Amino acid sequence: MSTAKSRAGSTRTGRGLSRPRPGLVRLGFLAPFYIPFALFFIVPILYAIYESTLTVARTGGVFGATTVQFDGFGQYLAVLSDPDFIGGLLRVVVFALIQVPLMTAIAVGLALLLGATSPRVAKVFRSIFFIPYAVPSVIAAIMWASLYQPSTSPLTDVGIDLPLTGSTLILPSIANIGIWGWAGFNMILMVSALTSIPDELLEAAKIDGASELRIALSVKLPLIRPTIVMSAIFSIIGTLQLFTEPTVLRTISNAISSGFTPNMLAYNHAVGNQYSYAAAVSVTLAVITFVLSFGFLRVVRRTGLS
Amino acid sequence: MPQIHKRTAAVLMAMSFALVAAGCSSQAPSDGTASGSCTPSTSKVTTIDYWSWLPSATQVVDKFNATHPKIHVKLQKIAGGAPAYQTMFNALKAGNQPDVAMVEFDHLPNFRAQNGLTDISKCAPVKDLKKKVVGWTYNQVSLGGDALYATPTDTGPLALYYRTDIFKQYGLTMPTTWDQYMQDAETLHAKNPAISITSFTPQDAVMLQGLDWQAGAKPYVYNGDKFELDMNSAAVDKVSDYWQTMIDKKLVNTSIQPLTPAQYKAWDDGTIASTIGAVWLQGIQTSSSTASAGKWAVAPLPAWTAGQPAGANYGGATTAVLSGTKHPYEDAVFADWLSTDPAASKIVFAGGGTGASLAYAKSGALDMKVPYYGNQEIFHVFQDGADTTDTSFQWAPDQTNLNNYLQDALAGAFTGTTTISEAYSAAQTKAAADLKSQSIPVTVK
Repeated sequence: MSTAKSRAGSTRTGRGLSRPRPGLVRLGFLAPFYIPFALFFIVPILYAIYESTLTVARTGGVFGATTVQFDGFGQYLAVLSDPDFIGGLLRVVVFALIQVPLMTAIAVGLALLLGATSPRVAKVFRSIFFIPYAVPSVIAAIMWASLYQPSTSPLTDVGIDLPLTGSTLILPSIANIGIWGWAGFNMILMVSALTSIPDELLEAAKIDGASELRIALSVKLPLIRPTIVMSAIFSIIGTLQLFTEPTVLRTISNAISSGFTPNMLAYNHAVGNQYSYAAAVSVTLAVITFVLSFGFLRVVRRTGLS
Repeated sequence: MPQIHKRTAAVLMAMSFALVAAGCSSQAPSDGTASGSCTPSTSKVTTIDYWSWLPSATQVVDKFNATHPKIHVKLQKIAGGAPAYQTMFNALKAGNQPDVAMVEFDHLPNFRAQNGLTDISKCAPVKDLKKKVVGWTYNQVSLGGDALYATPTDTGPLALYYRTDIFKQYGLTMPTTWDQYMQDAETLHAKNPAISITSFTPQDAVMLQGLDWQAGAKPYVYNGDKFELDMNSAAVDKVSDYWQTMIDKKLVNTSIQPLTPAQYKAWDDGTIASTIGAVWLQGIQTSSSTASAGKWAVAPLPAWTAGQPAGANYGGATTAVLSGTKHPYEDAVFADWLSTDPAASKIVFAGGGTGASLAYAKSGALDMKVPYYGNQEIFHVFQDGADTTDTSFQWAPDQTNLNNYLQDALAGAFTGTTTISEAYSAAQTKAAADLKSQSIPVTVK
């Protein structure tokens, strides 16, 4: 394609006018994206991988001189044998196993319900459900924190006295904030997928005598499966990297430790000056997230669902 | 198209590797802090960088620049608390740290362990600093040795903020000892189970270490070039067991975390009758709990032995000279001025507070009557606490991590799975492992 274009171009302009090669022109247009992408995405990742192979050696006691040394996989061995990391990892995996199906089911359910109402009603509710997504996650967490803390919660005003920030209910409380914030976004994805279903299929199903519910389950759902899978993968990745809500809630809950999730563990160790250890935690978490999301994709593809 | 992407990808990767290589190679090797000569600069005007989150930083820096024509301080305001240290440690790692920075007392050993401070003990402006500041503050800015890394600026003496009306209503005696405080707690709990003498949660971990300090504990000890953890000593356990008893007997509110809207509401509606707080808490309380203005007062912290009051400290900041500075003399001039000059103290403590400067304590500024506390001269109570604070307490080289581990471990003490003393032990084990991974020689007593 490119050769045809360049040939056409050179024929049209004739000799004398020198044009830059089309490849470089395209690079030029893409540069505003690729340069920040490299600087703020690729370079930090490479630097983190490099940092995770280092360790600090010290001569001369507590306040002696420090030298940075190459350590290979030393930090990774420490990460994998750290009970805080394993505990936090198991916690987010269990959390994902519950929250991802729940989130996807709610998003699909809301999208189907919207499709069953009149377009005007659907438009209003689409905006309402999407508004929580527009709230920055830290603000949302602060808002929910005041709703959860017993003395400021409206629930205690009506007599409901649940320990929402206690150790048994803290994970569902965090999940609630996540679902409140993201269900609308995922629902929009489903709604777009549903609108791309050809009307003929739905009409054919109606003519065959299928009820609305039957149409939803047997016609619409199978056709939007790719979108559902994509939404599930986003949810898996986001859930494994859980950070904002537990960090904010840590100020009002006695049940959240500094290593509650692997991302929090990395952050708190970086704040405590252990950059190499934090880098190793981050890289390990990234690898595990990669494996789990690709594993999920594999399983879904193999069972022919996508 | 695929050809373009391949080439683009190759260019990107090459660029990325080049950037990473450049970044890594420019990491300055850090050797021990240089304590070389300290001579005035010969330039007409020397510029030094200062990072701070003091509310009055702009005014006080302007005042210094106006009165010191040969030195120009360039102020950079940063967010206070944990983000400040993240910024500073990142800057240290990148090699573009400021000359002078606001560093709290409990973070100084951490900076020292990262070779992030300059020894200014040989600088003329700070030769007499020891005589000009409260005893324990000099000990902590010199880390107990002959060097000097910072000048102490403000302190955070602890005292008991209490509701005068609630104490009167339930006939509680003014507690001068911790035993009396527990008795008051029991009286209050018996008469009205809905309110508590105070709140206490894992987030009070740093305040709790201040109370250990008051009890004479030395959990973090520097022995020459070695470091020792002693977090289960008799003094620490005494404090731990006291608060464990308060929790077990349900004498404290364990669901109101400090510095949260819930606490401000509890102060207003009387759910909490008193709070152990530092001098800087008054700024927060007066602006957040306006409904109970005039109903509060400040009393000295209860003592362990009747007639032997002892102070404790929570917070407070120093003006530290960071490593790599090219103008230690000018830094020392500024740091000394900020911490001890009456003109500086007037600006820094305009809204109230206690400084490390002895001159400020004697200046009559502490006579300020605060309406919120029934027109009491509260700052004298705090200064008395500062004067009786043990002078040999030191903080740990990885205090940030240690505070986190302690807060994490304390959670179990509130659900009945461990005790506070066991929590200290667990935190100690973790902190020791942490220090070992940073190649800091540590022994556990």
